[in-house]
Amino acid sequence: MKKVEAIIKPFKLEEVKSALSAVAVQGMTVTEVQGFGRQKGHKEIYRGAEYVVELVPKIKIEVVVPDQALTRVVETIAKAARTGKIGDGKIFVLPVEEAVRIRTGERGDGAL
Amino acid sequence: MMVEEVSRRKKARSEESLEDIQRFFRKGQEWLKKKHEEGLAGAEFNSTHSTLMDSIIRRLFQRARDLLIEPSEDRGFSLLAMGGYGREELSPFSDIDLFLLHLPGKGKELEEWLRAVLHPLWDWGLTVGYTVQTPKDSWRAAQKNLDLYLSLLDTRWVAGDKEVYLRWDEEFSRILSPGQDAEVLRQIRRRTEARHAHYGGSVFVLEPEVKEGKGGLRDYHAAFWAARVKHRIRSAEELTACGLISKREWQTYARALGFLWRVRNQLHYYHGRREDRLAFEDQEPMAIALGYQGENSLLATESFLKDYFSHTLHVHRFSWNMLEECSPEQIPSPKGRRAGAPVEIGPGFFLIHGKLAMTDPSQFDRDPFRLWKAFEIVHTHGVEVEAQLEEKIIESLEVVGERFRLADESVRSFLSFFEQPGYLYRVLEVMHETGFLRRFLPEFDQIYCRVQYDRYHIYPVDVHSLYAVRELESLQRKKEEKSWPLFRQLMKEIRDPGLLKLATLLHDLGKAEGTTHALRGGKIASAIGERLRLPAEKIATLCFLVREHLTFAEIAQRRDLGEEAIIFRFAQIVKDSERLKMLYLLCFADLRAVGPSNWTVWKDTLMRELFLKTLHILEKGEGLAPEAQDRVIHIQREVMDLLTGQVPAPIISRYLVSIPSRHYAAYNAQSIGQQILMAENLVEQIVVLDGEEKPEEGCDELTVVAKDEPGLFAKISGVLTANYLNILAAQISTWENRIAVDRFKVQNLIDEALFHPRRWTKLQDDLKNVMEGRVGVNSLAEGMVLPLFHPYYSSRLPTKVEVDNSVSDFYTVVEVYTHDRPGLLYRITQKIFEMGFSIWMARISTKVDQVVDVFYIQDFSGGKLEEEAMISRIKKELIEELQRV
Repeated sequence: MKKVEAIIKPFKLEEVKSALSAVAVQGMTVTEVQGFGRQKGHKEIYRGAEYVVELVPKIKIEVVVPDQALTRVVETIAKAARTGKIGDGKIFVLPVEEAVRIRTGERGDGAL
Repeated sequence: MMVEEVSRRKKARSEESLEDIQRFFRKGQEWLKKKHEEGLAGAEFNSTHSTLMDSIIRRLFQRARDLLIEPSEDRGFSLLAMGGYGREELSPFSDIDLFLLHLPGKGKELEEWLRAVLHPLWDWGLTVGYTVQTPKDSWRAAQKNLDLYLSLLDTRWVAGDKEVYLRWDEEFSRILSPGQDAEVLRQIRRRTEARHAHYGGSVFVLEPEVKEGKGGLRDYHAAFWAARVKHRIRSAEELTACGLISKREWQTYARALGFLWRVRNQLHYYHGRREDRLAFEDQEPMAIALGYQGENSLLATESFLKDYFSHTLHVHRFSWNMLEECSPEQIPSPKGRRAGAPVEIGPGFFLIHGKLAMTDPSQFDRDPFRLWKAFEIVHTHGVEVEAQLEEKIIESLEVVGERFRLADESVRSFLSFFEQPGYLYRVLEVMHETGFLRRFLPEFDQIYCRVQYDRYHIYPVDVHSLYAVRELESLQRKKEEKSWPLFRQLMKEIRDPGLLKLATLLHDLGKAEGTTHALRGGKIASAIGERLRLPAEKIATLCFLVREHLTFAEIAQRRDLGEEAIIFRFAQIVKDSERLKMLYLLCFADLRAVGPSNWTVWKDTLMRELFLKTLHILEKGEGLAPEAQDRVIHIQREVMDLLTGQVPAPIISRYLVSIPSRHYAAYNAQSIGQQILMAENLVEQIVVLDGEEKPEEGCDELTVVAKDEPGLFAKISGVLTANYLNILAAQISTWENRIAVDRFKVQNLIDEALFHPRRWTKLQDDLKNVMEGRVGVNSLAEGMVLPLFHPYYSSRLPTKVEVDNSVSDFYTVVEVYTHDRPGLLYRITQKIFEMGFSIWMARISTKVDQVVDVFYIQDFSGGKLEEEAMISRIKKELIEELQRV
């Protein structure tokens, strides 16, 4: 099992979500996050008052998938989240030791 | 031997008896549940349940004595009920709190007694808590701990030595000194306020807490505690006797409490455990179980919730009034009603203890428009309304009909609340709670207590709308100067904050009928605007704000704010910066009113980005003025006519929407039609070229259409230079479908006419070859022989490069000032391309021999050049390039 963590542009959430469900990903965790990478923050000015945006709003999607589905899921996210512009985000893949479905006690891939 | 024998026998008898007790307990529980299902009232259920528990505990207590070896040990201690059990308010799964009160000197044997009572109860699944204390300890502890004091206040004897209890109780009622009395009363009130805040601050929350929420049972407990501390009463029946509440009020109060108790009992049975929160998903089954019916389950749920809210509103109102009456800051009058000098505040009305009351109770009957007078005082002074006046308003609602609604006086007063400074939220709250608002704006009746089935709102629609108005009001309040500086500033800037507040009050009226509520809401708002006789342009703004109130958040969170076209289209919807500011404020108020934590920094950042980018476009006004938009529509229609028959209509439409407004501003219909035809040819050709002589301007005009790609502009200008054409002016634009349309005004540097077939073909071939990558621009340029003695080589004006990021949110603007020479544009654009930037628009102009070239550029990832180092580099490299001879 692998956990895929993707940081994407907020407006790409719907696209990524539907692309993932099209490749049979059952569930995901979505969080509103802020941060920066190469796309640094910036300064906005209104009538002389400065509003500094140090952290850029992003969406974090977390999905845990069986090993054999990993490539497909990563590709799907990368394709759906891409605009070609700066700040498109990143995808991280982490190993997962165990998964338990709390209601039934199922374990491993069956719990996903 | 003998003693052991006896005790064994006793034990055997007791154990049989334990089974009996358990059987009795289970039977009693079953019977209670059945009675509840048959509709047993809440209060009866609770007291019957307490009686059942009393007899169980007494039997266990009896049994404990039998178990003990030495008889007659139940002297000197007493088993008491505390808390809810003490008040005889036991719901099916309420906790049972016991207090073993004993005289000093009792020790180990008490534990045995207690164990004999508690263990069976625990085994049967009851939640039982207990304390063991001597009278002295308990008084001392109660003086230190308010919670303990209050639960001891509810204490009641259940079993054991009653004398011990009676003596304790007498002393307990005296343990507070007058000073402590006042402090306890103050604390009760303070805690009640804190508890309300913790549970959403409103009676109307989407998932109410039957016990702890505002208007919940705890409100009654608090009021009753206060009454007992203040008036030394013991039973709820005495509340009327001491004048805290009238008999009629008590009937309503008791009915409301009974309702809540019954709901709580049902909740416990529904969950099979103690649960006091009326969770969203349980409301429907709860409504059905409590016997609510409707055409469908949704309607049943709604009428259940309406009842629920109206009862909790009563509980809240009566409890709060009692708490205030008992408040130590008031001196009790002989009647128990608070005394104090009333202050007149306009004819027929006076203030008493900060609450609005009226001298003549029949004034509304004689002149219903006097209702407005009461509201006006609330609006001006922000005062609360005294209970009797509130009742009077409720009684007068019948007169609020069509005639009342349309009367000039009504319209004027209602609008003045929005337009004049004052306490708008306060007056709306009074209007809402008395039901006046629903009569005056019948549209509100549709959303009264309407819950929103989206798990996202915690208040019903009507309450949410009022809260949104409050959010705007607090932006104008001095007290909160530090927070939300941008919104506070915008609130000051807008010309008609009153209209915005009205729109905010009305923004969700469309929710009465489910989805697409914004659109319907716009129509409803228009109708209300007309009824309030607002001028047409205000109605239009009102309707716009309500209709588009979701658009702002939607675009900010779901669209690519880095795409100029998206911002541009939004700007076209909004039309002017005044409406943009209002919409932004409405969006803020709307989301904050869902729950203050709902407006996160995350959302704030995205929303501000959309606001500022749109504002910049609106303030520049490019192509957004109504005339400009009319012009666009006009050109589009003309192009459609021109091309019909040559290109299928859907394809023409697709082109027309992808052409940016600024392109429409630069060309006429003929040119655009021609450009579309050229673009259509791009299927077979990589680049399409067209040209025209302009003898009156002394130059030739070329149009080049190609699929956009990095460095395209440099390639084209390179080819033109290599073909002995000096570029005097250029207009380049990129359509949204990624087609680049470049128009050049060129000066022919050699004698042969540009449109001579041989030269024209060479130009076309060169363009094609360069575009296809078969020939490099440099090799073409190297082969050219520059005409000598060209006049342009004589003058040398200083070269200057400016980089400006403030012009546009999407592009960095590079301005190049230099003297003209052939090949100049190629060198600049090639340099820009080599540095990794793409040119989106350019305006090239030449005056005599001074060139001002303006380029709108982005890096290849589609962003502006923000880094200082990069900005200095582009300046430096461009200047170096231009100084090379």
